[in-house]
Amino acid sequence: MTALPKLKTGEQADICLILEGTYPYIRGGVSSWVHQIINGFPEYQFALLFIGASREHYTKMSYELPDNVCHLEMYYLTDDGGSQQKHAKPEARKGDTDAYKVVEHFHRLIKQSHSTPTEEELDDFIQLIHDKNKLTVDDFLYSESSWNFITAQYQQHCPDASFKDYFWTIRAMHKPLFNLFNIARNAPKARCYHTISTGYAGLTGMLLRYMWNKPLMLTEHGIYTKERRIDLYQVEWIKEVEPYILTGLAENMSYLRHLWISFFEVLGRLTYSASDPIITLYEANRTKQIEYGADPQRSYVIPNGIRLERFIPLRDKRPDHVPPILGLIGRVVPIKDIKTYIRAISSICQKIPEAEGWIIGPEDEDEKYADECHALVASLGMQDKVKFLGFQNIDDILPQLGLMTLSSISEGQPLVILEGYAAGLPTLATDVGSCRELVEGRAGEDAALGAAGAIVPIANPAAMAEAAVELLSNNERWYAAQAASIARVEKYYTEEKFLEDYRQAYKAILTDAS
Amino acid sequence: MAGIGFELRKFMRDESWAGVAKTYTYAGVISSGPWVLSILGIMLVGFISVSRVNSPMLVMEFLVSVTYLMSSSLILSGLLQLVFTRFVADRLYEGKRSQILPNLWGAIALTTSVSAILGITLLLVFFEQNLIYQLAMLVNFIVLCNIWIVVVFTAGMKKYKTILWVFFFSYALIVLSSFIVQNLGTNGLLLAFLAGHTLLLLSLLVLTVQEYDSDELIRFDFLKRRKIFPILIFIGVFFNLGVWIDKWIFWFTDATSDPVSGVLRASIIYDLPIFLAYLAIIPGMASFLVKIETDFAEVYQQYFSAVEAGETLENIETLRVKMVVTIRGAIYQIFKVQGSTTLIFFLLGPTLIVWLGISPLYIHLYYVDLAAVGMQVLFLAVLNIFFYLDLLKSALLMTAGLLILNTLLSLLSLQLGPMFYGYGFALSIGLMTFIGIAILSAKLNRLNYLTFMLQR
Repeated sequence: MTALPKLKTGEQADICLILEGTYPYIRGGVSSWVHQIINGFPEYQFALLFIGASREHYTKMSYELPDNVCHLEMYYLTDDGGSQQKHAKPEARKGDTDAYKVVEHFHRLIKQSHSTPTEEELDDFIQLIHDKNKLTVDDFLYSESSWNFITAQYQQHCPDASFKDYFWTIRAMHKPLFNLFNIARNAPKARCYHTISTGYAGLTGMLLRYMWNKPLMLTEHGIYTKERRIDLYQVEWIKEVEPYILTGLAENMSYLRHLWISFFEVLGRLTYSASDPIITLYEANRTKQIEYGADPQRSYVIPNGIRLERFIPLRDKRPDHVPPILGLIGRVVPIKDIKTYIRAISSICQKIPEAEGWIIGPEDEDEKYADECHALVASLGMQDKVKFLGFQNIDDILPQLGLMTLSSISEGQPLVILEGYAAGLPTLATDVGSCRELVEGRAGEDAALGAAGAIVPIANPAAMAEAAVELLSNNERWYAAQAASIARVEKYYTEEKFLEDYRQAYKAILTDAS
Repeated sequence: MAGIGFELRKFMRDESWAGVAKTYTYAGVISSGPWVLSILGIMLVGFISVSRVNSPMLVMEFLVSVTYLMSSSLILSGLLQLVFTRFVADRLYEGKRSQILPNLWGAIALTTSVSAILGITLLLVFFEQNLIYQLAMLVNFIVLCNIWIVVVFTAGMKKYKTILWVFFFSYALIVLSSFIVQNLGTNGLLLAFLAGHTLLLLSLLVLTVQEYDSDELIRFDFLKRRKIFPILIFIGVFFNLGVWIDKWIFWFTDATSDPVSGVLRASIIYDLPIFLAYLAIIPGMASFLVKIETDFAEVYQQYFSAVEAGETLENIETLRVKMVVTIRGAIYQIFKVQGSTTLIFFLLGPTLIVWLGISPLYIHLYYVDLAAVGMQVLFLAVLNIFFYLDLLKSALLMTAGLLILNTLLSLLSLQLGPMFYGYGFALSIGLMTFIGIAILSAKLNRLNYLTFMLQR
C-alpha cells in the first residue's frame, strides 16, 4: 500500500472533509459527489478525515485520490477509544466526579428536544473534551462516577426497563464517541471543516468547530437521522420490552429503539447547531432537516449537477417520433419497486400495444428479487414486452427511450433523471426524494419552465400507466415536457452551476475563517 | 448513504449483549477442606498410636514425620490447587465436560513428577535415615500432593456424603493396618499411613472418573496462560504457607524445638496446644459450610440470574441487599457456633492439658490458639465468599497479608518470650480476618458497580 498523503507539522489544509463510511473507500452517490467536489476545486487543498465502522471493512480504496488531497486520515468507531486497560478484568476506579457533573449538564442541555445548545452553553463540555485526561474511555467504561451517572439516568428515565439491556445499550452507544473525541483533539488542521453527514461525522465536526474555533459546513445528502430511524426499525437485535413501559412514547417502539433513535437525533441536532451553512440536495430534504432541528436561516439547497457536453449530442440521435418505450435505469432491487413498474407496463400495453419496458441495470445484487421480477413478467405473459437488458452503455440507450421511468419507493436526487433531461428525455417518476422538484420544478421561476414529465404516487401501477399513456399518446404534451426537461437541466442542474454554488459557499466560509 | 447504514447496523450488532457475569460455585470447600482434613488426619493418627504403641519416642517420630508430610504437601500442591479448580469450573461453565478428565490426568502427572523430583532432592540433601523410611516418606509425599488436588476436585462435585465415607474407610484402614505392622516401628506406621491414603486417592479418582467422559487420555490445557488465572497460584501458596509458617518458625528455632528424627524437629510446647485447639474448628466449619452451600449459594444464584435475565436495577438491588443479609447471617452463625465451641474447649482446657501430659504452664498458649482457630473459621468464610464473587485480588491481599504478618509477628513473639507464643498467629489471623470483613463489606456495597462496570 502506498503511503497516505499527510500534512507536515504546522501545515494546514484549506478544507477538511469529514466522511463517514464513504469516500474514498466505498463507491456510491456520496462518494462520486466528494470526488467531483475535490476535482472541481483544484485551487483548494483538501484534507480527508475518514470515519469507518471498523478497520476490516475498508481495505482497498475505490478512488484514486486527486493531487489536491494533502492529507488522509482514517479513524474507526470500534477502536478502543484510547483505553489503557489491556487486562481481561479491568480495574475499579473512582473516575473524575467533576467531569461527570459537566457531562450531566451536557445531557440536560441536549435532552431538551428541538432546541440546540449554544456555543456558550457547550463551553464547559468542550473544555472537558480538550483535555485528554479528563473524560477518558476507561473512566466511562469502568469508573464509579460513570456508574453513578448511568444508574441515575436509568432511575430517572426508565426504571422499569431491563437494566442489563439499558446498560449495554448505553455502553455500545457512547464508547465510539471517545474515538471521536480523540479525532477532534488530533484532527488535521484546516481553515474550515466540511462534514458530509450528521451522525458521528457531524458530531466530530461540531467538536472541531468549537474546539479549534474554525467554521463548519454541512452537506447532507440523505437525512442521516431519518435513515438511522429506518435502520433501527428494521433491526431485530433490539429486544422488545413490555408495552407498559412505552407509556408516553408516541409510537409503539421499544425503549432501546427509542434510545438509539434519540441518540442519532441528538447527533443531528448538535451537528446542525454548529454548522453554517447547512446544505442539502433538494427542498424536501431541507424541510426534513428543519424538522430535525436545523436553523432555516442557515440552510439552503445546492442540487447536484451533471456535465451536459456528453448528453447534448444524444438529442440529435433521437428518432423523429416519440418511441413508446419506458426505460428504468437502476439496479433490480426491492427499493426500486420493479414489480410496480412491470405491472404498469402491462396496463400500458393494453392501451398502446407497441409499448415496451426496458430494465437497464444489474440483477446480481438481490437475485431472489430479480427472479421474482422475471416470474412476474412471465405470469403476465409480457416476456417480449418487458426486457431485462442488464448493464448497457447509457449513450446508446437514452435516445431509444420515450420516458425515463422511476418506480422507486425511496430516492435522493437521481442522476439518471438529470442525464435523461440533458439527452432530451422527460421523466415519469414516483413522488419520492427530489423527483417532484425535478419534474415540476421548485416554486417560482423553476416551476414556470413547465413539467418535465409526470409524478405519480408510489406503488400504484394504474396511476403510473395512466400518466405514461397520457404522455406517450399526446405528442404536444411530450414535446412540451422535453423542452422543460432541457431548459431545467441547463438552468439549474449543470456541474458549472453546482461548482459555482459551492465556490461561493467555500469563499464565504473561508473569508469568515480568516 | 446505504453503505454507512449497513455498516453501522453491523457495528451496533457486534456489541455484546451476552452474559454479564459467570457464576462460579467452585469455591465450596476449596480453601478449607484439605487443610482441616490434614489436621484431623494428624490428630487421629496421633491418638491412635499414642494409645497403642509403647514407645513414646517412636510415636513422636512418626507424628512429626506425618506433620511434615502434611504441611509440605499442602504448601506444594497449593501452587496448583486453586488455579486448577478454577480451570475446571470455567470449563464446566463452558460446557466442555470432556476436557475435564484428560486435564485431571495432566494435573496428576504434573503433581507426581514435581513432587517426586522435589521429594527425592530433599531426601538426598537432608535425610540420613534408612532406605525404607526414605521411600515411605517419598511415596507418602507424592500421594498426599495428589490427594490435595483430587479432593478439591471431588468437593466440587458436591458428593459430600460419599467423600465422608471414603475418608472413614481410608482412616479405618490406617488404624487396622497399623495393628499388623506394629513391630516395624516408624516405618510400619508410615506404611500403614500410606496404605490408607492410597486407598483414599484411588477412591476419589474412581468417584471422579465416574462423573466425566473423555475421548482423550491426557491434556495440559490448565497450563495455558489464557485459560487460567495465575493469581490463584499465589493465593493457593500464600494461604497454605500463611497457616503453616508459624509452626515452621517454631520448629526451627532452637529454644522452642527439639530434634526428633534426623533433620526433622518438633516444638512440643507449640504444636500440641495448637493441634488440640484445631479440634475446636469442626463445629464452626461445618455450620459455615452448610450455610454457604445452602442460603448463600441460593441468593448468590438469584442475584446473578436477575442480572443475566435483565431485571430492573431495583430488583437487582433488592437481591444484593438480600445477599448482604445472608452473609451477615452466616457470619453471626459462625460467631454463635464457634463461640460456644470455644467456650466448651476453654473450660475443658485444664483437663485436656493434664490428660495429654502437657505442662500447665502452656495452657495460656492453648487459650490463645483457641481464639486464633475460631478466627480462622471466619477467615476461611470470608475467603470463600471472595472466591464466589470472583474478587481474587481481595483474596490475594488476605492470604499474602496472613503470610507476611504471621511470619513477622511469630518471629516477634519468639523475641518477646514464652508468654507471647501463639500471639503471632492469633494476631495475624485476627487482623487479616478483620481487614477481610472490611473489604468484603465495601465490595458488597459496590457489588452492582463491580458486577456491571468491571467488564470488557
